Parts: sequence; structure tokens; C-alpha cells
Amino acid sequence: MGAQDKEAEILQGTLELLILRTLATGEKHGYEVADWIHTASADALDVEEGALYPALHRLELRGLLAAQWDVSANNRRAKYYRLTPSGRKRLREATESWRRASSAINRVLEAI
Amino acid sequence: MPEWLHSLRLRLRALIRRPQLEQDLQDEMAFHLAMREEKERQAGAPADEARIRARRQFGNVGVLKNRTRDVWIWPWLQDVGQDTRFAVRMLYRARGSTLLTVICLGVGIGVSTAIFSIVNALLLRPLPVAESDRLIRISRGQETALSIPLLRAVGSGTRSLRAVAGTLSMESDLAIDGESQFIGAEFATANYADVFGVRPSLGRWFVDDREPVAVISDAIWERYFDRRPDALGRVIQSGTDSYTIVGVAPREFAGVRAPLRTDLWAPIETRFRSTTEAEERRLARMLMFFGHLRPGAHAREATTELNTLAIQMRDRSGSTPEASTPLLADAVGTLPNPGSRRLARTLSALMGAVVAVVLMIACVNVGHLLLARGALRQREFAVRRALGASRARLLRQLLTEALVLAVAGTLCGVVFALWAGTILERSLPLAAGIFAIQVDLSLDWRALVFAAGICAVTTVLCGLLPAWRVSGMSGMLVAQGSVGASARRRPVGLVAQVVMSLVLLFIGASFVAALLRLHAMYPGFAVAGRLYAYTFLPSPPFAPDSRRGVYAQALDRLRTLPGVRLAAVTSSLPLIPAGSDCASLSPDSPVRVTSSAVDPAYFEHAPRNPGATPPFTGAR
Repeated sequence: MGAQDKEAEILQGTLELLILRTLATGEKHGYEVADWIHTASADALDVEEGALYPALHRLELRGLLAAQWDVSANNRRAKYYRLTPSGRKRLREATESWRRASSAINRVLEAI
Repeated sequence: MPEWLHSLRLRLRALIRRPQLEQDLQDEMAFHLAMREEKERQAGAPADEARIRARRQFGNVGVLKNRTRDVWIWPWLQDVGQDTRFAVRMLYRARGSTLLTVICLGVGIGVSTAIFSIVNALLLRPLPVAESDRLIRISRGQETALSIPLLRAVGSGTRSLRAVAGTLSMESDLAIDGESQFIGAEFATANYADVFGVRPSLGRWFVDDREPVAVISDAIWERYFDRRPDALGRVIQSGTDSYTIVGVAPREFAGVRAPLRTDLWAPIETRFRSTTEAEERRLARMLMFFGHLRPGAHAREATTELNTLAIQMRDRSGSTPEASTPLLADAVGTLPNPGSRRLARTLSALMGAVVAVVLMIACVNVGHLLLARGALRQREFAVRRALGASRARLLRQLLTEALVLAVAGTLCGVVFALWAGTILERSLPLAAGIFAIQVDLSLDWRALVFAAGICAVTTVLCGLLPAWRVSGMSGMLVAQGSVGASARRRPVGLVAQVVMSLVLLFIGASFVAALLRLHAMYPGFAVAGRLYAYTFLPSPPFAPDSRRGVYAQALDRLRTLPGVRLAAVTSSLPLIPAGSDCASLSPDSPVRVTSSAVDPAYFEHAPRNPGATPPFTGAR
């Protein structure tokens, strides 16, 4: 248990938001989600990739994602996730509240 | 679909298809690692290096797999599953003592459940009629609740009552094809079936207070008509009347004398018109009244309303107000007859006490077996504690073992109870004497809930103490071999067991003693060398006037038999009153008495002071 773990914990809440946002661009399997987050954040968000899976499964259990096993581009069995209507709704709400929170924090940080 | 329901469905699916879940987790993560490895290789890393990088990037696969599995299956449930599997293995290893324990628990729980099924049938299970919660009984202390005019006035309903029925429940005779027997009969108003919500299983109910038709019980239908539908239309005799069968009552409905069974229902007027005026007054006092509440109405409102109506009617008729207790309408619940209900309550309290003691003994027995087994396994527990298992963890393990035992014992007990129930039901007619008794002792959900409750109680009672003691032993002490440090404390349980066994033995012995005492006791009349037989004269062909002659003749013949010293006839045996009557010493204090019509010779059987004259000597 170190500082790294704590950082990951803070990320956990936002991880779900990131996953929802990633899947808003279309159906993806776990690896693609990880890759997309890396690319989109220009490698700034260095997530422990395995941590995606508990989060993905939790979202699936809550009905925000639907999952389906399919064959990947390189002909292997892979689990594909996509947003459900309630996932889409959750993404909108979470994005909104994230924006509000982060702008508020920014204002605080920039206050003299 | 709400979110929680969706989640629950997915969780259950994961639980049922556990191997599939494991396979999917494995595949999904392996796929991810393979993809990452591939990408690293394409970026120019050597094969070994690529695999290491992929793994580093991914994190601890084992831990992550566990965390993902925890999403689907509650961790506590996984522990329970693990504990249960382990418990079953441990119990299987000690088959002998497990079998002994299960049998011990099975008998204890079986006896308790069987006894509970009696209490359930008598006190808990509502009357097997439609809307039994709206059925009320109308009574007025020891007096007739409703006069016949008042019954007529409220019969078709009041503001709070949909309908009120009167029924005369009495012993009667029933003759079918020349074979006659004593039965319980009810002579009821035509709306009886409506008030009780009884639907005949065959044919119809009578719709008129006068028509000479009858509804028979399922038992009579089976015994005399082999459940053939052509029983309808057959003519039977009861008392001085002939009735045409028009319906068969449902099997589970025993009538208002439950648990004694009513075998015949006939319109009320058919009984009243056939008797003398004095007899009619006597019968009217035996009427029982039942009402069916309107939706939303309460028994209290019915009480108020009926009292108001009763007073209005009395004022209108101008008769002198008599000293009377107010009417009372109360819920029927399980047994319509308050006398049976009181008896059932006493009986249930007694049986409840026996159940508790039997169960306690079974629990203490099993507790000892578990303790003994725990002592043999001290080394195992010492090792587990040394390896870091907490006391709570060991406690949970031991309690799970007790639970598995209790569940097995309960299953065993339920089978035992089913068997005991059939035996009891079969032996009930012996207990009831000449009248048929009908109690449904089948195990319904209440009995099963009771068994499950007992299962939980036994788990705690017989599992907790041994588990606490065994899990609490110091690991070091045990490992060094000083086993049995707690053996000195064991006599406490032993003493409890002996005490409870003695209590049970004592209760049993005192029952037997009471029975013997009853046999030896002089009940106020001579019993030694006396025989009795029930008989009755069907009419036709015996008109009321000719009966006396028939009985006199029969008595004369009996008296001439060698070995017969005395012969007498009575309408009821001592202690078994057949009917009740009112006697009054002063006009305003009617007292309920039981009456028997007897012939003078009857008193030869009764004790008298030497030289005292018999109460009366000739037939009047």
C-alpha cells in the first residue's frame, strides 16, 4: 500500500466515467478501452490496465453496459462492451457533474 | 426493469453458471495480455520482454481476477460456499458420528414438527373457508344469542354484516340403506353456505329452510357411495325425517364442531317442525350464530349494531326486559366452537412445553457429540490458528458444520413428521370415541417455517458452545499436547441433559400416574362391571310413542339374561352430556344445566347413602 495505490483509488470513481466516455464512441473490448484511454489522454493517464476489468464488470452488473462475446479482428474470442440507454444517460449526468466539479476546483486553485 | 432487479438476475446467473464465469474471466484477461504482448513485440521488444511488459502494465492477474469475481458473487457467499463444502467433507469423514447426530436431531425435530402440526391444525390454520377473516361468531354469554325473530330480521344482512346464519349442531342418527350410525349433524339456515363461503364439491347447497334435502360430508360420500356422483338424489334418514341428498361438502370443511366432524347438513326447519314445543325451545338455546362481515366492516361495529337491533326488537314486541348480557361478535379464527378452542389452547400449551424439552435434550446430545468431535480436531484448529485464521473464522467454520448437520437433521425430521402425521391422523378416530374427528395434520408452509426456525435454533444451541470452546483454545497449548483443558467444564452440559431428561421422564410418569388414578378413581357412579351401548331407533318405523315400549321391552329382555343384574336406559352417559338446558331457581337467574332423561333403574348405578330413596321410581 503506497501513494500509488491511493492515486489509483482516486481514479477509480473517474475510471467509470472514462469507460463510459470511451464506449460512447462504439463497441469495444477491454484491451481497446485501455488503448483508447491511453491514446486519448496522450499517455497522461497511466492506468493499471487490469483495474479496468472490475470497473467494466461493475458497470455491466448495474446495467449501464451490455456485454457480448464475439470473435475479434485477429480471430480470437473477445468480450465486447457497449453502452446501454441507461449507460448513455449516466454518461451525460456524470460528465455534467464532473465539469461542474472540476471548474469549481479550478476556480479555487486559481484564486489568489 | 429496475437496476437492482437487473443486477440480481445477473448475479444469480453468475452464481448458477460459476464455471462459465471463471472461464470468461480467464479468457478475457488472457486475451488482453496477448493483445498487449503482441503490440509490444511489434514495437520491437523481444518475446520475453514483451510478455513481462504486458504483465507489468496489466497488474496482478490473480488479484484482479478475484476483484472482478467479487463484483459478481458477494464475497460472503463465496465464503459460505467454501465453508459448506469443507463442512460436508469433514462430516463425511466422520460418517458414524454424523449419522448418529443427524438421527438424534431428526427425531427431536420430527417430534416437534409433528406436535406443531397438531397445534397448527387446531389453533393457527384458519378455517378452510373463503374469506375466513371476515367470519364472526355471535354469542351472548351462556344464553341464546339471537331470538328466532331477530335471526329472521338480520339473516339477510345489516349495515355491517352481509349475512347471518344460525346452525344447530347436534348428535343425530343417520340411516343409509338400513344401516344407521351416530353422526354429528347441523341443521342450518339456508344462507349457512353463503356465510361460511363453503362451495359443495358435488351438487348444490340447500336454498330453502324447509326443503327436505341434505348435504353430506365427504367422508360419508366415500364410505357409503364410493364417491359416485349418483349419490345425489338418494334418500337418507335422520331423526324422524327423510332427506334427499343434494350435495357433498368439501373434504376439508368439518363444520362448526371442528375438530369433530359434521357429517350431515340439513335445513333448520326440518328439525324444528318435527319436535315438540318444549324440545323446540331447548334446541333454540343450542343454536350457534355466525355472520359474514361486509368488506371493511369490523366485528366491533357488528357488535354495536346487533345490540341496538336486539333492544329495538325487544321494545317493539313489548316483552319484559330480561336480565341479559350484551351480544358479542368476535372473529371465528380457527375453531368455531369456543369450547374446542379453549381445550385446544390448553392442549397446545402442554404440548409446546413437551416440544421444548424434547428439543433441548436433542440439542444437548448433539452439542456433546460436536464437542467430542471438536476435541479430536484440536490439532487441526491449532494449526489453522497458527497459520493466521482468526477465531471468528474458525467459529464460522464450526457453526457452518453445525448448520449443515441441522439442515440434514431437519430434512430427516420433516420426513419423520410426515410419517408421524399419517399415523396420528389414522389413530385419531380411536381418541374421539364414537364421533368422527377430522384434523388436517398435513405439513403446510407454517409447519415448514416452524421446522426451519427450529433448524436455526438448534444450530445456535448445539453449535455455538462447542464452537466457542474449541475455537478459543490457545494454539500453543494445543500444539504442545495439553489437549482437553476444557474437559473439566463439560459436566455442566451433562447435568443440564440429565435434568431435562428427568423433567421429561417426570412429566411422562405423571401422565401415566394420572391415567392410572383416573382408572382407580371413583367418579361418583359405579363403573365396575358396567357395560354401555349406544342405540337409537330410526323412525319410521318407530313412531315416538312406540319407542318407550320398545325400550321397555329391550330392558326386560336384558334383565332376564343370565349374568345381568341391572339394566337401565339414559339419553346420555355421565360426564358425556348430550344436550344442555336451562333451569332456574329464581326467574332472573337462569343457570345452564345439562340434562339426561333416565329411567329409574339408572339410579341403581349411582351411589346413594344407604337407605336413601332413589330420586324417582316410576316413569312419568
